[in-house]
Amino acid sequence: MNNELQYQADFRRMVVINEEIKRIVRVSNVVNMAALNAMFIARKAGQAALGFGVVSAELRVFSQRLNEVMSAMSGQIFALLSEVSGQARQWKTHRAHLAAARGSERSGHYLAELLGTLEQAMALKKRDIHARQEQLIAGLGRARKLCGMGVTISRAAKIEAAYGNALASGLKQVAEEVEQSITDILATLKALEQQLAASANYGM
Amino acid sequence: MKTTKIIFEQGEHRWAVVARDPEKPGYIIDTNEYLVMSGKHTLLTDPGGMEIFPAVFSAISADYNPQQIDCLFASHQDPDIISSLSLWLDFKPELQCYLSWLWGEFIPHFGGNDRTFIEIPDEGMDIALGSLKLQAVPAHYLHSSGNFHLYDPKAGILFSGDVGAALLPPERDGLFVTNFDQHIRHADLFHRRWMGSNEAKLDWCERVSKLQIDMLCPQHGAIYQGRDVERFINWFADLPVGSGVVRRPD
Repeated sequence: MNNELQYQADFRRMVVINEEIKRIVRVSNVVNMAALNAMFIARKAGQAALGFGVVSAELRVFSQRLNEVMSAMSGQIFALLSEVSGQARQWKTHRAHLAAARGSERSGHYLAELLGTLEQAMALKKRDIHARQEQLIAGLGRARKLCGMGVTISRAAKIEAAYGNALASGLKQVAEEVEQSITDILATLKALEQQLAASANYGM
Repeated sequence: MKTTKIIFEQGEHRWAVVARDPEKPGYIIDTNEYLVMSGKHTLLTDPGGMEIFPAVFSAISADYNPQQIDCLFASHQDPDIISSLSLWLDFKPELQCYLSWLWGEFIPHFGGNDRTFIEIPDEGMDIALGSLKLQAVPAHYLHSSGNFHLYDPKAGILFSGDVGAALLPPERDGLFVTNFDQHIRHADLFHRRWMGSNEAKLDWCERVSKLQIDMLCPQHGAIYQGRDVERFINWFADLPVGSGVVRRPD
């Protein structure tokens, strides 16, 4: 694959990553609502679900934190998308000037300086994109660790649900749903990290 | 690759056409670009689209110094006219571009800034190129709603944008019209379809029939010379334009 096609593939990859991050933000909102709901149920259940109430409050703190982290990443991926689309334009411009320069010795002479400037700007943009990608991968790593904690909390919620007497099965169901959502987010985050690391701009 | 050919020369006053690219892919319409030179000053008409920039730039560079191009003249806003603008500005950021005021806020989507454009009012204007005085001649609705041609009274040349254009088959793509009757068949449907106003057409025919024109130079097709210029204007005046919609098979 030539450089231009690689960058086009990068651009499409960034769009997919952007969509996935938006989806995670939506799921973390659902987790937040589920945790809030669990807190209300636990309060109704009174003394019997005291432990579940504490854990669901932790889940809510977790989901709010995850939401913050993912929202910040939305801003980062948006900036990265903009940079990568700008890079696609740079490639197209460079390709046209390079083709013109190769047209004849004289056109090569007239365009040599411009090509040098364009290539410098392209190298700078590549470095900038790489730095942004590193920032995003670090953010994804932080979100993954946070989700690891979220899975632990949701498992604790599942254990505490067993003490919920009459509401035990309902609380268990909520805890399982939350655990499933966080596990899904975790898998998505891992896949996103791999996708970002595989992009043409990364590691160059 | 495209090549340049001098079509007028009187001392340091010259017109050259950049035309015919045998390597151009068939899905892109062929274009003619014209260099108007006056001493060290050069104007380039309708520089063309992004995809043909390499061919145009190389052809110009082969015979001239592209640094001497001071300004571009965009007859209208179409992509085959001016979408290469940003590439030209990369090469020479101080280039200026003459265009209809109507497109002043549209063409910057191709590139340029507030210093790039010189807007031409509807009635046209004089354009100074070194010691030479050119005229932007109104040709609105032919085919664009803000459209200008470029007249050089000293050379007797009218750059006529899409007026006079012909979609020539490869075996008949000579640079000059040599057999008007045969040639005009390839211009007929183009003018019926692309030109939308009989009123505007007649206004243009009347306007240009008062000018001394030795060569009528369109952006596509072949150049009309001598008597063929008048023949073309008469043919165009009689043509029912806005009538070229062809029903496509279902």
